[in-house]
Amino acid sequence: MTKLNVLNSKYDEKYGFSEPERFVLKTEKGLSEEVVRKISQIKKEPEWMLNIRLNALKIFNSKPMPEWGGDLSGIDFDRYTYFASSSEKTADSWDDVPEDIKRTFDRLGIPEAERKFLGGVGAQYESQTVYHKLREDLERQGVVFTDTDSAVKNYPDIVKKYFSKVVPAGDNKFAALNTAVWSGGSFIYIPDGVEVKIPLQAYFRINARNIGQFERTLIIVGKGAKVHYIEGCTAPTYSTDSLHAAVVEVVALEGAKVRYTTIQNWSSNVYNLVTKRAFAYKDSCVEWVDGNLGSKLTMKYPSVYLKGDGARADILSIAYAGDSQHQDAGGKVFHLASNTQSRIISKSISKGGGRSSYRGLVKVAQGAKDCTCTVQCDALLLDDVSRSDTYPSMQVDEESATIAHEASVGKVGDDQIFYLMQRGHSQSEALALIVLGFISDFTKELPMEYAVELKKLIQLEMEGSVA
Amino acid sequence: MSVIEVGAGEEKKIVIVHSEDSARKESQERTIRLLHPSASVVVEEFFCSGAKSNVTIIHEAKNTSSRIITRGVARCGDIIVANSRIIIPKGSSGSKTRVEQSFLLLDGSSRVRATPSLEIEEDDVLAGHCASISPISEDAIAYLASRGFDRKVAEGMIVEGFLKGGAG
Repeated sequence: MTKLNVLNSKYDEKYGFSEPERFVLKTEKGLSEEVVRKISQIKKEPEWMLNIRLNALKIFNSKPMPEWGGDLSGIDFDRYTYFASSSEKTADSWDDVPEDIKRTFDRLGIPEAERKFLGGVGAQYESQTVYHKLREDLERQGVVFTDTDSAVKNYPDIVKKYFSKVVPAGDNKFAALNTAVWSGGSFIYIPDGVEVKIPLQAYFRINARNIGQFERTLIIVGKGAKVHYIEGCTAPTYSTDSLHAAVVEVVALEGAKVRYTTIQNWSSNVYNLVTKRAFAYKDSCVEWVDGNLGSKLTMKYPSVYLKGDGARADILSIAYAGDSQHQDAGGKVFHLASNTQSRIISKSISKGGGRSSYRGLVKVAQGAKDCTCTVQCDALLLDDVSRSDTYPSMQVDEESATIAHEASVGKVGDDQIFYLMQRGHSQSEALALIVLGFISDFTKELPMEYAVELKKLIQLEMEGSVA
Repeated sequence: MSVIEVGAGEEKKIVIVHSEDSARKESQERTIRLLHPSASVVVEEFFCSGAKSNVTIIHEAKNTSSRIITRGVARCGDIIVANSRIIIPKGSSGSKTRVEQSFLLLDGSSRVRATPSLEIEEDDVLAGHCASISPISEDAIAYLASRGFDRKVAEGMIVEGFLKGGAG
């Protein structure tokens, strides 16, 4: 076995395995008012949350499917199961997690990661959060890191104040769907002035086939507080598809700093349609670090609304589209206040017939003085059957704004490969080196463990694929 | 909508100027088809007032090249909508394209909407685009002011130079 194989086997071996499907609770297939009521009933939710859900269901039913972006014709809403739970409760000790679920996460290396370098961990299996744990010293400082279901019960005032305010149900069809049937997700509250120095992490896993996972994440970072949240996602490789429609809402209050890192490595049968949005108030800083490696179709445009003077946004994303994958990703920034700054860097790689698209929007509202924004999107095509698109949009209503956009599409030069081969690398090693160099802006922002993992994944993908 | 076809080995230059007169038309659509190998086109587009324009270039043969240079100046409530779309389908190897869009916003009531899209299905290509939207540089105004030009004249000179720069 080569060194590479020891470290990271192919997706099927490492992430593509599945445990037998076993459910404690499950709604019938398809979506109806009954299903929504049942989900709310199972969770013993207060009336106000049920009303939010029912309202959202109406919006979902009234909205047409989006016609832009990727091909959504394969989605049949009646085929999915909207709520399924394999565990009755959220455990805070790893020993209390049901055996089959524990096996899954052990194989994925989750508790190990917690011991090593994390301040808190959450794990979601199908619709239910099965495990949540926060370090005691952080708990003492008033940091809340729990699943959103528990937050509705334990922190109703905070949830009521922010839930569905950043991403309203009427925002888009999939946000409405999520609001109607959401389950699980992380709830993070950082009190004013608290700096969480080590990352908090959640891991999302879909095990069953034809299931929808609709986690709802809400992060509120108090004045001058800091946090780094990491999220990872995988699913087994099935021939039938699953739907992942998450909503993430981030609120960065005055002077707060929040970084949200995602490495999405769904199997190639998952529709990944996620709405991520942050409100950045005065002098705060929001960073999205977004890695899209897997899924059948991803449509995800992390966005930041710069609502207070001096707020900053940084969106860094990479997309890798392999055989029959479409990554439609990008970023959106709305400059709604003066002296706001933003930067979007997007790198995409298409290979083996994959299609990667950058879709972005930069808007500067009238009256938002002296805003600056730079957008850089680069695409690499590794063979002649792949495709790359760029759809940037700039809307500027303010004279003092400085907006710059730069994009390029190209392939790996024969001369580059030749240069590296002369220095003793094989052809696929040379290709992997060039690709890694191409995305180095992204990898250097990741925690080391993730950067190493990503590097191995890329090396593996490049094996036997010489342009 | 107008369709312009460019033949083998032909080097076409198209200049589009949106002035007060042309702005009255609702929106302008142009499609340029590079039908034969080595066809090339350079599009220079100037917005001297608000207008809506869509330019699509389709590279339908090998070794075709295209370039779009857009310069626009928006003032007094002008709304400039500049969309460009470059399509390089499979098989059009060796093609090159470059889109450059720059806009100056002279006052707070003006708006610019720019969407330079690329749709590339072929790996053996060189494709790039860049866009910028900015106010007139205060440094440039100060430079000219120190040489005796008042603000109005200086602005006029900078705008003129900006538009001419596109033609170079």
